Amino acid sequence: MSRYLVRRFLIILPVLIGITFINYGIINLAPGDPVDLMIDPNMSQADKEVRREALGLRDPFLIRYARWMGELLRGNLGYSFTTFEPVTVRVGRRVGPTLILMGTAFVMAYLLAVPLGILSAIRPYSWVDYLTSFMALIGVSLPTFFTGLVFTYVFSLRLGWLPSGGMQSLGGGGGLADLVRHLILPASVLTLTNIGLVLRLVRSSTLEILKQDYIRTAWAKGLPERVVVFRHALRNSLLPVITMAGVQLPALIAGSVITEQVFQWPGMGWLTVQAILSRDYPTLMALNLLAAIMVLGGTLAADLMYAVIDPRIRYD
Amino acid sequence: MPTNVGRRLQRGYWGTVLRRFLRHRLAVTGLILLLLLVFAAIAAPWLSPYNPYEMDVMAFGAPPSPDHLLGTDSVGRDVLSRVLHASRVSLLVGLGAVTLNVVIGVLLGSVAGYAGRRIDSVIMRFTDMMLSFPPLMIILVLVSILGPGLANVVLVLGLLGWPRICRLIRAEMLRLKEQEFITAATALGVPGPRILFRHLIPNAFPPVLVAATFGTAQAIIIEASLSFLGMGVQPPTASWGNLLTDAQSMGVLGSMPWLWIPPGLFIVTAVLSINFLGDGMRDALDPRLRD
Repeated sequence: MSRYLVRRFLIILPVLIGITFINYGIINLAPGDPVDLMIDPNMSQADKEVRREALGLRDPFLIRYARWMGELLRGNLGYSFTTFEPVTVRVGRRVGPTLILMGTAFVMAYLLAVPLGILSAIRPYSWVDYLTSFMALIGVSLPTFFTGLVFTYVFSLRLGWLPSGGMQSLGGGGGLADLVRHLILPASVLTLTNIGLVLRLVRSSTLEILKQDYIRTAWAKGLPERVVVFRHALRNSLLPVITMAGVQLPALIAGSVITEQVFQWPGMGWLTVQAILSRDYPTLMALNLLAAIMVLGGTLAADLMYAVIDPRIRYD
Repeated sequence: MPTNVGRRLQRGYWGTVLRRFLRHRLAVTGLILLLLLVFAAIAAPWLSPYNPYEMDVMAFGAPPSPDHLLGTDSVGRDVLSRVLHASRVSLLVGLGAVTLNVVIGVLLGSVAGYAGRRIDSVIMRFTDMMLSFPPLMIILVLVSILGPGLANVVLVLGLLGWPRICRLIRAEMLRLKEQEFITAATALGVPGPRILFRHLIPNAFPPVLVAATFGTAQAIIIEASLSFLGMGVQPPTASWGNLLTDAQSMGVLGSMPWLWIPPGLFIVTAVLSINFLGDGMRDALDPRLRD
């Protein structure tokens, strides 16, 4: 097991370095730099050059990358080009809200999808099955931003039940209840776009398991359906669902970028859009790095869980 | 005589596929809806009541009326005409991006699967790395660097979306390579590239076709998302996504629903019907692929 762990980490490391390198590369190929964007008519060309020098934008690419990597290893991700605060602080502030949003959506998607998926697998081609497949496909087909707009329009503008954006009411300190009220709409939107994939996977893996010989044996013993499904089938059919949890992270991150933008949720996704629009390279790099780490970490965690839960799998 | 048998068998396969497809009611509905959308897109210049760029000075932000069936936007352009013209752009982006995906994916995947060994592992490690990029993040960064716009969106989506198809076709190659008709072709001295292009790739195509169908729906959603954020197709050219950009302001969202509901419904209809179609095609072409 430990040898497997070490090997997995050794595979991840070059991928991570590759990701930072390519990211840094394409961001640096970009025309235009932050100095150009500070459109101050009073700033002379010479002043702009001084700014550029100060921000270290004149050095060759590899030197800038090496310097950035060196600082990175010391825990310094540089300073934002727009707000001049440390990137770690700027991004760090956004991690909490994003985790709250993604975590809620993640849990909600699984709580809904697992029972529904099992139900449609034990009654394949029934109306429940058709309804859930149909809903799953609709969930996958709805663009996050359109669902977000519709939800805001209906629940916030028309019915006035819930706030249309932000994480807290103005004037601060509304406590947990206030946070939950703000969380309901964005979390539901994100759940809806993610539920389809989980549903289909739960259904197909349960269907697969129900065809196995040991399930037929369980039926033949005259066990009631409840026992066959929950004691014999469920444990095995949920195994692939765990790996799915890791694979799903990229989709969840992508969904949260759009959702946060629509609902002005003060998380990493919203910051990403802001950083792109203002060409704030250090912030963008940090966000991309964090997203890549989350994706790789998620996949790794899922693989490890799989190995722990399923004793048939031997990695070394 | 043998060719006769072959032809009959072949007709039998496609006949079965067609029969299985037609039994899938949602897929047939999807196909019909999609054909209607494609027709609307092609015929947009003739179907549109107005020029999509022309401003009606008598009607700024007018609600739907007999004159403007879906109302006008804040500068007086006819919404129906703009949505119809946007269909051309959005469908084209989806198709263009997926065509690029298929070309790159099939080339790399079939070479990896057929050549094996060193070439295979180099290509597959590269594919793995591409897959570990969080997709939307990298797409956003690339598009903002290349500059937003129609061609760049197609290019970025096309250059980033191929890994899945690549893995799929490689797996098919590995399976087909071991089969007897390939051994026979090799024994007959058919040159490698000819085996690859005439025997292997055509046989590996059904799953690719299905993946490409789902990929088109995906590309349409991503284009719409990018354009919605202001980083995709740029106004005044209309795409389904950028017609919704204005709805980010609460004023437009609340008081001018005719501006953003129609393009939104077009996106949902397009994506949904393509996904239904893909579902039906998967079941029809290869029942083994059903999840």
